[in-house]
Amino acid sequence: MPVLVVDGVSLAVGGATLLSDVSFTVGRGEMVGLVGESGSGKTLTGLSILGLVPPRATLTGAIRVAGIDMTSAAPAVLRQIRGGRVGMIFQEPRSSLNPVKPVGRQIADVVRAHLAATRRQANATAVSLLGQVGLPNPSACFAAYPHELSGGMCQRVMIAMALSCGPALLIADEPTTALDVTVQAQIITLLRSIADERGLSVLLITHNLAVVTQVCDRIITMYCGQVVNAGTTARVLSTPSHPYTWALLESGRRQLSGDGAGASPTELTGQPASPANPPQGCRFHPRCPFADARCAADVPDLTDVDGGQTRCARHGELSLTAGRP
Amino acid sequence: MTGDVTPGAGHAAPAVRVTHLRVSYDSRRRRLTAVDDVSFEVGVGETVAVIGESGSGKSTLLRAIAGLAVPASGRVEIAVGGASAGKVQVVFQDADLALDPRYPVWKAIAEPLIPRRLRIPKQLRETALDLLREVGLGGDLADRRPHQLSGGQRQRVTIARALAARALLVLLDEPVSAQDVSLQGSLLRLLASIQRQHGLTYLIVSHDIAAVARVADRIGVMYAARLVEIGPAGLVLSQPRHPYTQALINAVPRIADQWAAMPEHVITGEPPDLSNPPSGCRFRTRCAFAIDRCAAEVPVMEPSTSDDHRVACHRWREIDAFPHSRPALHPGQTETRSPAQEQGTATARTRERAGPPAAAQDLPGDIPEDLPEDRPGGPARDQMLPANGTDRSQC
Repeated sequence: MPVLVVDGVSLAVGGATLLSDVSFTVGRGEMVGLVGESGSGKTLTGLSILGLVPPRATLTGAIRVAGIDMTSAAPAVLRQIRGGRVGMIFQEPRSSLNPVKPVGRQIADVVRAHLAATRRQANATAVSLLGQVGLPNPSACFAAYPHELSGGMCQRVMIAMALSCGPALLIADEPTTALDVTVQAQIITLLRSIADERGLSVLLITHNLAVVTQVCDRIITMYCGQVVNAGTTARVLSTPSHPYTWALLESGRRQLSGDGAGASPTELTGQPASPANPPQGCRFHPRCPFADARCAADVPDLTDVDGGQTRCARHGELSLTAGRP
Repeated sequence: MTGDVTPGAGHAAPAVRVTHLRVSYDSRRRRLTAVDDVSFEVGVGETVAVIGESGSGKSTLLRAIAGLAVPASGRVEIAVGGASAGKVQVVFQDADLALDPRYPVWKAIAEPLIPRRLRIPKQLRETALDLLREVGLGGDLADRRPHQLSGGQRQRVTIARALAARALLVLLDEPVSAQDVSLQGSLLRLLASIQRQHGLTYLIVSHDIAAVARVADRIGVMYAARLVEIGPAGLVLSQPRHPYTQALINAVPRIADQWAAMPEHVITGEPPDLSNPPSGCRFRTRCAFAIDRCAAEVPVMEPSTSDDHRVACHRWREIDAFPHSRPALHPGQTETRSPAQEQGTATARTRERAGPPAAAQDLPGDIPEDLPEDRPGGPARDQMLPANGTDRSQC
């Protein structure tokens, strides 16, 4: 049974539908990347899983974490799941930590809130976790305040905290976006090795497709509040089945190539559509180089394709491989 | 961006010449030197990108060139536009903070013209509308306030404002870092076309080597307040000479041809504390190739394989030009691959990984056999936790 099931989730805030019919699963020990641009709904999806939606939002559909329905669970149950069964790490590690409390104490607090542990046991767990996430001199780190640590070290502390209660699922929302590339490489390597060692399921939410292709087993692409493409990393890399994923891959592949700033046929132009005011038909069609009359008329369904799913009316006609279509 | 400028030192009249620049910040307890003995030039019409991680001193360098930070020693000479005001403009990273929330867009753009009374107010608005169009925004945005614009539109407004002042030298601090990848391309193209039309000189500082690779004529790399390498963009990207540059390029996540491409040569540790930097070469504490000489002697910038590609490393001659097992890409190289070719590449890579590491592939893991093993220590682990409450976030 999958650790996480998101089934037909729609979320509306003040009349604007920000998520429409989002469905996916994350299996045990699987690392899944949720990719999209700003405003695509990827962060909101992550928050919905934890039951952390905005106050006046209306959520429909089902979300199950380790078999527990998050949409109907009582607040006390949700509190036990958040931080207990599901660990979370966010973009700005420093702002997720309490600035006036040593970081080790903060980890120990999480342990004590969820598990029957004495202060001494919780402290020992915290020191051990700090060592496991690769911090040198864990006992010195235990007593350090967040401002004494670099951003990368703070993110390691957040990972230690997320792991402290032996979660089944880790939700990492842009965990490396605020970090330098050398530190980013360290952190994603750490996440992958933790997932492998512990059989932990990870949902990695990021705008950085390159990071996802390096560590995730499967990739889910969101655009304008919808899942538009899903598939195994190998399949998505070799033959993406949605033009948006393909365009993201192509622009990513051109990075570091220094091929001048000239327009390229695979370059995405225009602004991302807003889910509050989506275009008619396929939401990607105004930016899609392959759009035709059908695309403007009907919203395509998310259909099964070899190795995944796609929301593209023309997926059968397009052959999207690296380079040119 | 412009091919007709001879890049590099020795250019007749550089737009900017920085000579032995040193900028320090003092606090009660310590002195932190954020820019230490940095020298380079930016030719007229050229685009130079300075790359560095947080705390490398790149932003302080930009501030010193803009006259916003006072050098402790050394000189900054700016040769464009004589001494007239407004010729040097800064486009800051956070367009949100750079725009007055109460000003409508047209007024924000016209702002640099107001104190100099260059236009009567009616013309000011016309000028602002022209500039708005030039940066690819419609005139209908003229009366909006910054909060009604998207991040990308705000960034374009700050670029229009730099143009309003008839800038000749534009200093760009992380111009595309806040943008989604799909929008970075169009912003970079805009910057390139504006540069051509107005004959602008760009100095870009960024932490993102991938984002600026497409626009820079030359790339400089800073590490721990020092410039460690500078040269033509293609050479620095395809044949980086400094071990730090190599590690930095290696750390950029890439979209591989096939899965199973975990980042292979992850550099460990973190940059040193600038109030107490290591002796000699500052990268030696994380460098796989460090020897006694690296601790004893500060490496100076010297020409490497070509005169305009300079590097500050004692051992650059002994280190392979490129540590990647991945193929290096450089300007002009087109990337069209068939699935069959992809398979081939992937197989080659897998084989490489299975075999023994080639020299210089592992930073800073295994020491290649042909190098002496008497290097002092590995990465200085104790440096990862700064002593006495040093605030790393300030660096």
